[in-house]
Amino acid sequence: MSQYVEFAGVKKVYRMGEQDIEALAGVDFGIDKGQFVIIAGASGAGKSTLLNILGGMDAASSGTIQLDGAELSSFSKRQMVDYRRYDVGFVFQFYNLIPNLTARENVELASQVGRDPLPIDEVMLSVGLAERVRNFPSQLSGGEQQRVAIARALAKNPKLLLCDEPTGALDYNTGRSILKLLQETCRVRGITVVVITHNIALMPMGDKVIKLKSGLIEEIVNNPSPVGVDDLEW
Amino acid sequence: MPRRAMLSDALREIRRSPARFLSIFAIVAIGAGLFAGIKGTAPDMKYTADQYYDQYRMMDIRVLSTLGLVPDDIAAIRSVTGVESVQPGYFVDVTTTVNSTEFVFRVHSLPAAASTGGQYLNMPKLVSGRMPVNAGECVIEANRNISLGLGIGDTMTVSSGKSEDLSKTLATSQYKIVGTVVSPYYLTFQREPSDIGSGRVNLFMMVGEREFLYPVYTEALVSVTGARALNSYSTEYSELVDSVIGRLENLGTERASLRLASIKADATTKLDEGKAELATSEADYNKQIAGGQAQLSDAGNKLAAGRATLDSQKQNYAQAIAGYDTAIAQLSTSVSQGETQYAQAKSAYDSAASQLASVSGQLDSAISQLTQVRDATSRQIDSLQKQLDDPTLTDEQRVQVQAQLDAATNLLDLTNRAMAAAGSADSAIKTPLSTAQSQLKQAANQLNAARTQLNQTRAARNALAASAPAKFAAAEKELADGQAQYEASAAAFDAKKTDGATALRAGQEKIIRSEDEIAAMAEPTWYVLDRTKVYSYADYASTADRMDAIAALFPVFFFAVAALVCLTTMTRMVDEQRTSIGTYKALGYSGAAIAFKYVSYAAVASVLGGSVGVAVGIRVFPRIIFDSWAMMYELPPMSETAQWPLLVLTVVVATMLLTATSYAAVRNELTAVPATLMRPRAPKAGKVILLERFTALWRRLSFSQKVTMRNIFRYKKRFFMTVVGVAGCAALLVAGLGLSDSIGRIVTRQYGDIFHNDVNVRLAPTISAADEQAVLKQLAADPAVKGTLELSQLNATVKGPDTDIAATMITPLDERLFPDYIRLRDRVTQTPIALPDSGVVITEKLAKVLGVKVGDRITAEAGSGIFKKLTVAGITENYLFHYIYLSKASYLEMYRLEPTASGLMIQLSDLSAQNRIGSELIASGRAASVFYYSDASDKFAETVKSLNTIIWAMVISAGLLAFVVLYNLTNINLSERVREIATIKVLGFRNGEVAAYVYRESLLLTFIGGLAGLLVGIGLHRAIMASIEQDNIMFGDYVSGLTFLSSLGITLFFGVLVSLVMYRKLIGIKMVESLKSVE
Repeated sequence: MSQYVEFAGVKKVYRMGEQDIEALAGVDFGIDKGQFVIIAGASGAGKSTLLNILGGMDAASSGTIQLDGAELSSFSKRQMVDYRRYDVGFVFQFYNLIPNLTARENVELASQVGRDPLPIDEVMLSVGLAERVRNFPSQLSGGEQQRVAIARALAKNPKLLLCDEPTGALDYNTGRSILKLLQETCRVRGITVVVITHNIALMPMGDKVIKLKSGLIEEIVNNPSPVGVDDLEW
Repeated sequence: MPRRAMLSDALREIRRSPARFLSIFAIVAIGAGLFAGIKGTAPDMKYTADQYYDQYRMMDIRVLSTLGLVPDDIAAIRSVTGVESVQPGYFVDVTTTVNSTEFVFRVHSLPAAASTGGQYLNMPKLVSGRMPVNAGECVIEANRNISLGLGIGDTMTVSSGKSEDLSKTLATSQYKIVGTVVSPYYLTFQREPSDIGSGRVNLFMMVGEREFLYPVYTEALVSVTGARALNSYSTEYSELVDSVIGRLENLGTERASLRLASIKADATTKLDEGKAELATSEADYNKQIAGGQAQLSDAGNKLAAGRATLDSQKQNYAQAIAGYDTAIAQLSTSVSQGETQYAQAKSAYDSAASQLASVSGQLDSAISQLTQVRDATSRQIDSLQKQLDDPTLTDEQRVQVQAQLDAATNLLDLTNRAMAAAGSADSAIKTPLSTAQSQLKQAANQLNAARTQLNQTRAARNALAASAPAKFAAAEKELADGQAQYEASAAAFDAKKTDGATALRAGQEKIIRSEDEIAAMAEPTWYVLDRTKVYSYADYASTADRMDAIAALFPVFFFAVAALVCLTTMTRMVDEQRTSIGTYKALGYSGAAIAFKYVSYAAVASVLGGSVGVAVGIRVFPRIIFDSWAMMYELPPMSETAQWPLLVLTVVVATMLLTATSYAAVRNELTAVPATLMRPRAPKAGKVILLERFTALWRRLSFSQKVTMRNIFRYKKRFFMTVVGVAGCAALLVAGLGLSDSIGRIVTRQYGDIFHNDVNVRLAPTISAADEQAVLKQLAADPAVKGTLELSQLNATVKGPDTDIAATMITPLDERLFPDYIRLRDRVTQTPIALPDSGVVITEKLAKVLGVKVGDRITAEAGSGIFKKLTVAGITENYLFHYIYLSKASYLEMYRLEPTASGLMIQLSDLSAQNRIGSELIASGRAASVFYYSDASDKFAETVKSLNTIIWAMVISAGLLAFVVLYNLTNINLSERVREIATIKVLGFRNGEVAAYVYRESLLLTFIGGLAGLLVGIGLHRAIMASIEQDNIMFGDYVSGLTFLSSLGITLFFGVLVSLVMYRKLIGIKMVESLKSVE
């Protein structure tokens, strides 16, 4: 089993006062390169913890995580930083743009630390924001801000694009367009995309759907023929 | 009670965010502490001094009169309303020399009560030993700055420091030290000017009043009824004392004129006597000089005659020798001719003689042949005769024999004739020979005679030549002796003449001085002086007042920073709590009630901070400042006076300021409707900043520099808070470190650039011209001495706007050398100033104190008692003490007297020889004091060190200020930008990059603030220098480049330090924060 991403017996235990709480109670799954993966689950199911660990923001308590042949779970802090820096693109629910920087500068912020960044203008064009590069976040709509965030994540030319409820703060139509952008990105660029959502309706669009419940995997669904965003309704 | 809920919410808020609370607390504590501390210093200083004055009964008023005070005067003073007691007394300045240093002592009299332990005015505080009881005992000042080298049990010898001795002033000149004292009258180590010695009183001593022989009292000390209960620095005190002063001054006018007439008459009589005496001695002198001159010229004439005789004798001798020499030459010639002739004659004779000898031989043989023939013939004749006589003979035979006889007779005859011929031939030959022989003999005789004559002549000449020089030498010696004797008496005469002239000139000068003195008596005055005229009292009071001035400067600044810190902090706090404000509003709380929470938060912080601040400040700062000033004063330990109004007021003002500020911060939000408040606040929009319009410049900035610029201009309040706070820090540092720059440099300036001499000698006042020449000669011969300049250096008194100012008046006797010893120059342009032929050059600080510029006139007196108006012709750079420089011409014009050497400036080529030279001069009794400039600079360097406490206090304040402000800024920055920081961490920024992203901004602000602070620091430094400057020192406002560099460096260091402290917090921010929703 040599998949692109592989979780084996991953546990995460938080200590809350006197007792330990298992956010992840032993998770095993694999993701192939270039797959569009949906991780779904209700609040408290362990989605965020999984994302934190996969995004290199937190370390697992036990278990191994492999990524492109490297063992993420054994990374030092420094290697973790490099991992975030070069290999992962992150799209936040609340966009997390730097308010004081223009759209283009926000993208630049990420690309300047990348090892092999994509040309900024090309990325901006691909997310459909070529016209608005000089605007500040406060001058952009929510969808536009999320596009900037996606552009920022893509500009690093990452191996893995992690999206945390990317449509959570957006209205229906804008959310659809963002999902479409993500799906296209996966198809066109061949980047592995992992989207975390509580919205079960989105599941059909993933190549693989991982359902979480109470820190355990409830179900892994491989979907050989994912649906395009345009065909989804919720 | 909603307020209670709000208050507990506010208090809980404090627990939740201690850093925020602490930053407000700290800045208020620093501001209030500094303000109360520094402001409280002056009252504490004054209170301490007042307590000291009261305890030792310092006089309130001191009355002096130019003509002294008599018992009637004292009685009159006693009867004036408001006078509690009068204590008449004496004082006089004397000098004493210990090792090679001359000290000026002011001797004060002690009333009889001092020896019995009673109360009296201006009591000294006994430090060790006992008070004088017997005659010839004294107590001297215990001065920790001057190591006198005398202690209890030692005897000190005092002298007047003037040409007159002390015998009319003090009972003895030997005083035994029985104790050491300090006095509230002498708080400062800097003392009143004196007209003797170095020109300033160094120390004081006290003796019983019986020791003074003055016919009149020199002063009267007065205490005012009810004055002791008042603080002597208060207005009430000065009003009370002023009323008594007014009455005493009126009394003075009456009393003084009464005494003038008799004294003036006495003095005039004495002057006239002196003038007559001078005239007599002048006539006497002239007569003596004339007599001496005549004697001297007689001796000279005689000497000349002797010389002439000797010269003619010498000439004769030369002639005689010449005659001899001619004769000898002639004689020698004739002798040699005679010898030649003789030789010729002799050879002629010899050849003749030899010829004759051969002829004579032939002749002799012929004669002997002839003789033989004759003899043979004769015998034949005889025989023939006999034959003839023989009768037997035949005729024939006879005829034959006859014939034979005839033939023989013929032969005989022939032979005889031949013999005769030979004989005559012989004599013919021999005669000329004998003639020649006799001639030869004659020539020999002549020759011998000539030789004899030559020898005689030679002998005569030699005899003459041998005897004459000795005779001449004897005559010469006699003459030389005569000459030496003549010169000696001429020198003696000249010396006597000069001495006489000097004595006469001295007499004339004395007359002129006496005339001056009498002229000065023209306006007799009483001086009624209050405590402010006591040098140390005035100096101390102005020091305390200067502290007050500084107190106004700093805290205003600290309060401004406190307000800014509070404003930014509270604004941030309100921002964070929009939702809860909205909630309160929605719950129906009024705006005032909500504001109360924030206002009370600030109020609690400022009341606590203020209270802690003033409590610490009032304990710490007055003591630090007092102790550092105490190095310059002789004071008891500080006594604290209660200053509740100040403390309460400080806390109240601080609290009001901060609550008002926090209300201003919260007011905006209160006007908003709850719905707006419940929604997250639209993040402060980024916008294009002004700098971006300068495209060329903006493009050059790196990406992260652009981000920094945007952030800086986005939060203007924080920008100002930080820049102002940091600027304050840098300014304090510049001012603090600049203190030692400015003060430290004046020594090198004064003693390196301006004064170019190593030793200053004050000649003994009684030195004679000959002794002075001896000193100069001695110095000129010393290999360690490079040069010497004679000066007239007088202790001058200049009339100042308030008090008289002591200065040194210097006239170089050699103006060409003067610039090598003292450089007169303009401080700003550095152009040299030449000594003017008319008018004086004064030093810069003196000009500043007097408020005069070039062309103005100053009023000064230089020992004669007469004040003269002098025109200022130049103002020269100078840092320590006051000097008035004038040329000889100018001096003569002003004082009608030629300046005389009273001091020497010495340049050394070997500085290590200075003590030896000084001791030699002192030991010879020709120098009164020797001042080593290297000692002065060492001593001053020590004083500068005493500033370190103040400098440290300033550096620490600066550090606290920078720390609080930067901590606050960084703290707000972090808490406000948690999401942003978490996000960039998720984006893969390394720790260093995250820190740079956040800190670049605060470090840039620190840098900007630091630079601004350097400018502010220059101003602050000037203000401080101006307020601590002393009367006779000019500090200038020099700040070294190093100070600027290190101020900026230290400021940046604080910035970096805060960054380091905050680094953990920064790194500790969890990336998960980026996932949270906007509050």
